[in-house]
Amino acid sequence: MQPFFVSEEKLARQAYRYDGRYRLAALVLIVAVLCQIPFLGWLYFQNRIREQEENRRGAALRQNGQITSELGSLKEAEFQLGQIRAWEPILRGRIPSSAILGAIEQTIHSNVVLSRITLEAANYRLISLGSGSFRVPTTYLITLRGEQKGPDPGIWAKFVAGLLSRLPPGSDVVTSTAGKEESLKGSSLGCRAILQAQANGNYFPLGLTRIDAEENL
Amino acid sequence: MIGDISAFVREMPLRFYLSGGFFSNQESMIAFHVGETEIEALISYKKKPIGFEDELHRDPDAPPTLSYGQVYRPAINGRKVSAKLASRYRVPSRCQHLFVVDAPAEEVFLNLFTLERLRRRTVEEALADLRQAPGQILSGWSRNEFRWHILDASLLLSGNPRVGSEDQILVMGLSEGVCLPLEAWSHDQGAAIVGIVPLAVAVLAWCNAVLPTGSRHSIVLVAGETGVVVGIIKERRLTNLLKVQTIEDALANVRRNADEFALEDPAMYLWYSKPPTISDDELTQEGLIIIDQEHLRATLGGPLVLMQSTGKRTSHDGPIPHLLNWLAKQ
Repeated sequence: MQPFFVSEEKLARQAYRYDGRYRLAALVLIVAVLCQIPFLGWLYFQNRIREQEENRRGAALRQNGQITSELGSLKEAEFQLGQIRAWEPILRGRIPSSAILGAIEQTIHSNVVLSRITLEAANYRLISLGSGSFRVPTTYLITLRGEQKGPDPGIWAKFVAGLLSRLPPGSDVVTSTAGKEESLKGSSLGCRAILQAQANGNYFPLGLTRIDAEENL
Repeated sequence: MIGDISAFVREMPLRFYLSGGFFSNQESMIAFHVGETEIEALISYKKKPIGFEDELHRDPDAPPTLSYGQVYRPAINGRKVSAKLASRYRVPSRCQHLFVVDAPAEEVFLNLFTLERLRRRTVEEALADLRQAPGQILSGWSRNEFRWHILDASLLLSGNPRVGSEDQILVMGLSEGVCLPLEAWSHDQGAAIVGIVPLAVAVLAWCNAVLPTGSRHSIVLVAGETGVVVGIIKERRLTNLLKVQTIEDALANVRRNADEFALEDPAMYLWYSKPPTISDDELTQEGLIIIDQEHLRATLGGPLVLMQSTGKRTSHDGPIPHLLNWLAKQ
């Protein structure tokens, strides 16, 4: 039948249904589109993975920001801790003089009388702290002067050896002398000894108490 | 070229292709008789009639009746009526539509001319001029919103008309207001359109093909809902055409112009879609052969057995099912 009163536009559109060339073109087009489905699927999953990664990155960045802001509030404490840590070599460079005096008191022989005890810092090293610098000793010299009753010089030597044994390892006797002096009467001997002790030695056996609890600071 | 490809991609009937249209040319055909308020449809497949719907206008998605005019808006929701019919009568959902419209007289132009009288050399030339400037070819015609078609006097609905300059041709015009809503509805249904045929032309073509118009001069009265068209057929060729209001007017006109028509012992046929006000007896007394159930059964040899919407198979001897069935086979 002739296409009675059907518009040209409608007839042109109907050619898509019945003309073999259009049907072939549509078949090729549909097959081509179907061939893209795996690629589109891959693209879809890649997109999802990228979105997940972006979400994770965003979350990490937010967490990083949060940590940074929390760190900001800890800066002051960190600075103060840094300052305390900087004091460590200075504090380590001290010597417990009272403990040394206690050791002398405990080891001294009854025939020995000390007239002078001198503690001198020696072998300084420079430590920078804040805007300035500190001279911190690494060794101390313990000078003992006195006299002993009786002519046996072994008493002084025994006292000095006893004191050295109480001092931390690394300590040494620099000089130790016991001899007749003019100023002394009778059988008394003048005695002199210089001992060297390490600043950072272990003085705990001398009766020091370890500070290991925060409340003891 | 790119525009064509783009238009093809945009407009290609994907649903048609995917429902098997790539590899099969077989489509079901739904032939509609569209009246002023009523619509009937005959569903056929492979040129065999399957079912008949005599009250399709009750469906909310039915084609626009002629009373809707240009205000028709296609329904959007719900299942399409074409899909429903295809499913009901178990035919492929890919379908074609054919519309037989009983349009009001002012929406249809029908007249016989010769190419010489139209001052054109070929049918194609006459048709092109009619579509471009109908006022230049039909003197006094001022309406541009018409679609045009030309048939030769043998009223063959298929094939291109081959006529000489003095042979009669039937110039047909149908208002855009009738065609466009049907085309839009059909597009919305995803169907192809075979054609939109005015009722008078369809009936005259059917009469010329089925009745013995070759052996006897025939006067065919086609009584539609809004008027009567009289066609005079001699030796299977349409020679005269009249448009009148009533059957009485038609009879009076034929008698008045009997000499001009030069009819020899004519047979007068009356085809009507709805029974006229005049009784059959009176019409018979006037010498009219009414194309009714009896006549159709005698002429065609048997009734048309079609399935109804209820699923029951029923004999249909009415003129409209026979007309739609014949048209669907063309």
